[in-house]
Amino acid sequence: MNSVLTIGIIISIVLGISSFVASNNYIIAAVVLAISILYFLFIAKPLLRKYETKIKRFDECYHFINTFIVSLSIKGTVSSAYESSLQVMPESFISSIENIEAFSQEDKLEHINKYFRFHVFSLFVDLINIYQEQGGNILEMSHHLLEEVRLIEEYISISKSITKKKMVEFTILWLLTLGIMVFMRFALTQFFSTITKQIFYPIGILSICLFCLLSIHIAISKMSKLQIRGWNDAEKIQ
Amino acid sequence: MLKRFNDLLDFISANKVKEYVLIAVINIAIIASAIVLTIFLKQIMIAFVGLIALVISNYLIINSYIEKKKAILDEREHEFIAIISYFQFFITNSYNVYQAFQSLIAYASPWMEEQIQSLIIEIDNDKSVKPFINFANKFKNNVASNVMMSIYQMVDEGENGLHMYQFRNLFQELSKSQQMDLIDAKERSMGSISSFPLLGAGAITVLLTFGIISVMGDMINVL
Repeated sequence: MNSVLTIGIIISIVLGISSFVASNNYIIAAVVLAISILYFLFIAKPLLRKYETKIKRFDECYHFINTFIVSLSIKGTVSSAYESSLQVMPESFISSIENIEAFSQEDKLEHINKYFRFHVFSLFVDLINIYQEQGGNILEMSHHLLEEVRLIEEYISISKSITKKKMVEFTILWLLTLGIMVFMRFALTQFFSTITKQIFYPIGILSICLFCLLSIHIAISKMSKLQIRGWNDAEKIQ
Repeated sequence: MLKRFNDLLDFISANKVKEYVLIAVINIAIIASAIVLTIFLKQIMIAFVGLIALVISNYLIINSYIEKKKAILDEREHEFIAIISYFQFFITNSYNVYQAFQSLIAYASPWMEEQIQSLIIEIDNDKSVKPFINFANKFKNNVASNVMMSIYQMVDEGENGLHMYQFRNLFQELSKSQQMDLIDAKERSMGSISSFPLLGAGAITVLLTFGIISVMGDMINVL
C-alpha cells in the first residue's frame, strides 16, 4: 500500500512541475501539488485498499469453499471439513475468527459469511444447511456453486490483466499530453512570455491539471470496480 | 419524453419531487454562477464554460438514473442464476420441479419471490410450457429461456439423467455468458479512460489557439 502513496507522490510532483513550467506561476503549481497529494492520501489510497481487500477476500473465499466441499465429500462431517478448510487459510483470516471457537457449526459459518460478504458464500452456507438437513451427494449438489466460484475467480484475474494494460496506455498518453504542455514553453519562448500575462492562460493550465487529476480518479474508480455479487464497496470492511 | 423520465424514476423507486428539486437547484446554481462570473470578469468564455457545465451536469444526473435502472436489471439477472443454483440443490436432492420452486421462495428477494409465486400459480392453471416461457421473458439473457425450457422438459418427461445433464449444461452456459458480459463491461469501461488524455491534449490546443488569437487581437489593437 505504501507503493500507492509513493506513486501518488511521484504523480503529484510531475503534475506540480508541469503546471509550473507551463504557467510560470508558483501559486498554480502549489495548488496543483497540494490537491494531488491530498487526493492520493485521502481518496485514492482508501479506494485502492478496498480494491485489494476485495480481491484478497475473494481469493480466501474461493479456497475456503473448495477445501470445505472436497473435505466434506471425503470425511463426511461438517466439523472435520471446517477444520480442514481452516488449515489452508491465511493467518489474517484465522485471527479474525478467533472469538468464534465456542459457536455452533452453523453460527461459525454465518459469522464467516459476514466476513466474506460475497453472495456465493451465502449460497455455500445455505447449501451446507440443506445438506445437513436433508443429506445427499455434496459433490453433485455443489457442482454449480464450484463452477460459479471458479468463474468469478477467472473474472477477477482477467479484469486485473485488462486493468494493467489500460493503465499503462493511460499513463503513456497523459505523459505525452503533459509533455506537449511543457514543450510549448521552450518551443514558443517569445509567445509564451506574452500569453502568460493573459488571465485565461494560467486558469486554463490549472483546469487541465485538475482535469488530469479527475481523469486519474475516474480511472482508479473504474479499475477498482469489480462486480462481485454481495460485496458492497460502500460498506465498512471488518 | 417527460413520461419516459417519470417511468424511469418510478422504476428505480426514486422520490420524484426530491429529484426534480435537486435538478432545478443544480441548473439554477450553474446558470446564476455563469451569469455573475461573465458579467463580473467580462469574459464571454465563462458563459460557454457555464453552458458546457450545464449540459454535462444534466447528462450526469440523467445517466445516474439510467445506471441505477441498469444495476437493478443486472441484479435480477444475477439473481436468476442464484435462484437456479438453489433449484439445482433441491432437484439433485430428489425434489420434483414443483416442490423445488416452492422451496426457492425462502431464498428469493421480494421481486423474485413475486415472480416465483406467479410461476407456481400459472403452473397450477396451465400445464403447458407457457408459464416457464413467461418466467424466462422477465430476464434479458436468451439462455434463461433455454434453462426454463429444460426445466419444463423435466416436468413433462420426468427428472431423468438426460434432462439433468441438459439442464446442467445450459446452466453452465448461462453462468459463462454472464461472466463474459462482465468481462466485456470491464473492457469497455477501462477502454474509455484512454480518451481523457486525448481530451487534455485537445484542451491544450484550444488554449494555445485562444492565446494566439488573443495576442493577434492585441497586436491589431496597437496598430
